[in-house]
Amino acid sequence: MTLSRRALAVLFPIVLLGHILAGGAAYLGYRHALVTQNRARLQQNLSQLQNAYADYASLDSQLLYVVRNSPAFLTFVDESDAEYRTRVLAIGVQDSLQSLVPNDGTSVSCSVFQSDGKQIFYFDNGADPFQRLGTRQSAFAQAVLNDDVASRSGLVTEGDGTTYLAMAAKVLARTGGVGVAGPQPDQSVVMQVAVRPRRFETIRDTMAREYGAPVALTDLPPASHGELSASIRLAAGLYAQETPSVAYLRGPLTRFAAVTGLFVIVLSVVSVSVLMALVRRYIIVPVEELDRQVTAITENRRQDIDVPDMGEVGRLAANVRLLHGQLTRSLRQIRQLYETDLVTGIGNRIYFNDKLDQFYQLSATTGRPLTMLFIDLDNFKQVNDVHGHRTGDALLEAVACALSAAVRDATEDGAEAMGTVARLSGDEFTALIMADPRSTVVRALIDAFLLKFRGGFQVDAASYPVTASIGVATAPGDAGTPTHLLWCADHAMYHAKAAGRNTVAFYADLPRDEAAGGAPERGVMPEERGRAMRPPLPQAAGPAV
Amino acid sequence: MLGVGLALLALRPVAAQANALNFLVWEWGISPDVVRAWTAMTGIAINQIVFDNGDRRDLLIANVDAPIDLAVVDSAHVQAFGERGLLLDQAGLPLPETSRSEERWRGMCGRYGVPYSWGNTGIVYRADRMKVAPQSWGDLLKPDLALAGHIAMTDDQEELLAAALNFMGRPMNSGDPGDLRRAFELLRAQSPAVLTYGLPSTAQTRRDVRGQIFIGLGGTGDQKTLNMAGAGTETWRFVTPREGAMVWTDCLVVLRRTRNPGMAERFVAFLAQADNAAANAMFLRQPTTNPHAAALLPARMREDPQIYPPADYPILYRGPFPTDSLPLRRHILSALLAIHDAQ
Repeated sequence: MTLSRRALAVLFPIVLLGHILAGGAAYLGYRHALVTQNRARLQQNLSQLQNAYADYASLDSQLLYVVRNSPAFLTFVDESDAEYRTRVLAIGVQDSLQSLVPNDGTSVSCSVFQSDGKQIFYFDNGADPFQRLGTRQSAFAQAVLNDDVASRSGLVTEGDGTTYLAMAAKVLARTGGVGVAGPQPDQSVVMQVAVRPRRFETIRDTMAREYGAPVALTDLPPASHGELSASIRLAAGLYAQETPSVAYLRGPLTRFAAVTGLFVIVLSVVSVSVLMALVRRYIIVPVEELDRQVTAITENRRQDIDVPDMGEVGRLAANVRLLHGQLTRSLRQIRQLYETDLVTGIGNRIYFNDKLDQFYQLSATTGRPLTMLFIDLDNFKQVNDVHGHRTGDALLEAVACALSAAVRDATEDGAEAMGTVARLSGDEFTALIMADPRSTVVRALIDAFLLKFRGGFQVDAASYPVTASIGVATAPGDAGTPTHLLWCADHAMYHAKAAGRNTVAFYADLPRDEAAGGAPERGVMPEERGRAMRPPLPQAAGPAV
Repeated sequence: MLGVGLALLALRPVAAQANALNFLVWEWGISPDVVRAWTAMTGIAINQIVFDNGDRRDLLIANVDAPIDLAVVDSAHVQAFGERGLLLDQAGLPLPETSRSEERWRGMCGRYGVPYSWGNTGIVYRADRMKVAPQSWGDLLKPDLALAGHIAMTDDQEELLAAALNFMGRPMNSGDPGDLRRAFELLRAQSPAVLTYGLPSTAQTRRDVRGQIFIGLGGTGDQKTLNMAGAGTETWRFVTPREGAMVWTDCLVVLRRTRNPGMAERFVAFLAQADNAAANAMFLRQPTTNPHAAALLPARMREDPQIYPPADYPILYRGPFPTDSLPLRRHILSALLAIHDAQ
């Protein structure tokens, strides 16, 4: 998983969770505010309903009071002759009522009942002259006749659904005063005024439509039904309660939730994008850059690491660079140790094999000839035996030093010549030179080297009677592979030994059949093949020790 | 109602005068010359309390506190008041033969009333505004578009419904709810064209409708009152519709509560005299109930169809309307007023 994905996997859930929590908090806050606001509005609506009810109740009350105290009404109720009352006096009551009814379309009716329950007067100001007092209003008025109350008011809903606010009161005939409590069939009449509370009904209907539930009217103070339920007292023993349907707040809440959800998602995406951009810029990109540089180093496309000037990544880069430097140095040391002959300080066989391949490839690539010198010291064992290994080692070191100097000297001047030396084992050395074997460079090298042995090899003012036998071979002239080249040089060296030691033998100069015979298998080193493959050493006397 | 109340208030100080009679009468319902002659003869002033609606007049008569000595009451309403004991019995009033009305009118007024004048319902119209004179109740109840907003209908439910019922061919005093419903529908359909509900002669005096009434429901003699405001140009006419009309007679009644019954009855006898009755009839442009007075009228008046309805037209003598229909009839009127107000 990439760093970016890891960062996204960490950031997105956290940001989303944070925004969801914030959105949830906003939703709860909005809901609380919505409920509070709607409760206030509901209360306001109920207050309007209460005011409307109070207005109609007041109109009822005023009409009832004024009409029942009017002379026309008193004359009417005092009259026992029904015909005369209807023909002559009823119009007076009608006039009294009509003069009081507000001319604003308010529907008002007035009815009078005798103590025996018979209706003796009815009038309303509506546009339908055939309208009669509804049965429920009639029952409402008659109930006052039969009950121990002087008056009563309330809402009466007829069978057709029309609601009236009725107020009925006992009136004592001959006095016009309010009848004393209790049935007095011979003296009391009941006058009832009923208004059609249109505004009250309109508010009630509007509320029912808006809240999705009817405004309930109850006799007792209603218990609350939920946080948005509200009630109000319209009159004594009459309460209005509105409990909006559950769907009422669902709409705005759902809309808010949807908008909030969308907002949360969009905000999360935007936030994560911004965070990811910042994380990429300040963390991932530097780390990726460091990774690229380290990868380049491991792939040898780069040597060093750039250290950015920033915090932990900078320190990490610096530490990686430090580590890389230490590793590089350690590798170099290990490699040096691995490839260096401990006795002489020059390259060992491993080193030689590596270099042989490199030089051979270079030769094959550039076409320049590669010359190999295979050097074996003569009489070295005697030195070891006589003077001890320490002296032998010092001698080997001195020889190596001389060989290195000779190669260095030979290749120093030649612009194109290059070479290296190694100790293969015991008293065997090699030198590789990118030059033709017959060139002056090689010739001068051999001469300079052999010169060191003339008259004994000098080590710390002591002279040792060792000499060097040198075999020379070249590629591509003599050999087609590095191994073959080594073999050829080795083979030539034995010829040099056979020729009397302290001399040089060129593989190219060997007799053809001898030179071709016993060519080694590819990749097999001379000592691994065994001495048996080498031509027999001539019994020539070497240089005196 | 309010007008009547104000009139009553204004009346109280006058009523205290011993040498005056309070006379409840239609507006312009008595000849000023006759009143002057009476006052000149007796020294008794006549305080006229005017009304323009029978129901409200009845309320005043019924109100024992209203200081009324005598009144002009439609014959259909006299009997009820008489039996109620509100009126003095006129049966014993010694009237000379020349002061006596025709039997039919005396029969209608009964023992509590003395016939005063008669007439019939019909249509008043402005001849200068109507190219063709109306002939039918239909011209009023189903008016041409041109008359919309120029119609005055009486606010007397009896006369209003009588016209509609008559047009529909139903009894003008019907108490049948079906008849009344159809009459109401007819009148409701007419109401958008109605300018005002009130006697044309009374409505004409209102500033807001003055000059706008071209046609209306009225009674015999109303054209006289309407023309009185016309500065000499007699443009108003009265016509009895060919469907017929309701004939009324107004009766003079003396209220039992009068403090001067003798003088009141003397005034009744004075008005019943043939010469005074004739003078009154000429002033009122109404037929007289007294044949001796009728003989004194000019021939032009006796032959005037505006005053005497054509003999071949069906008529109905106005009698008491069914009591149980009265609430509905009043309700129909108030509904028409409510509908009209709403428009």
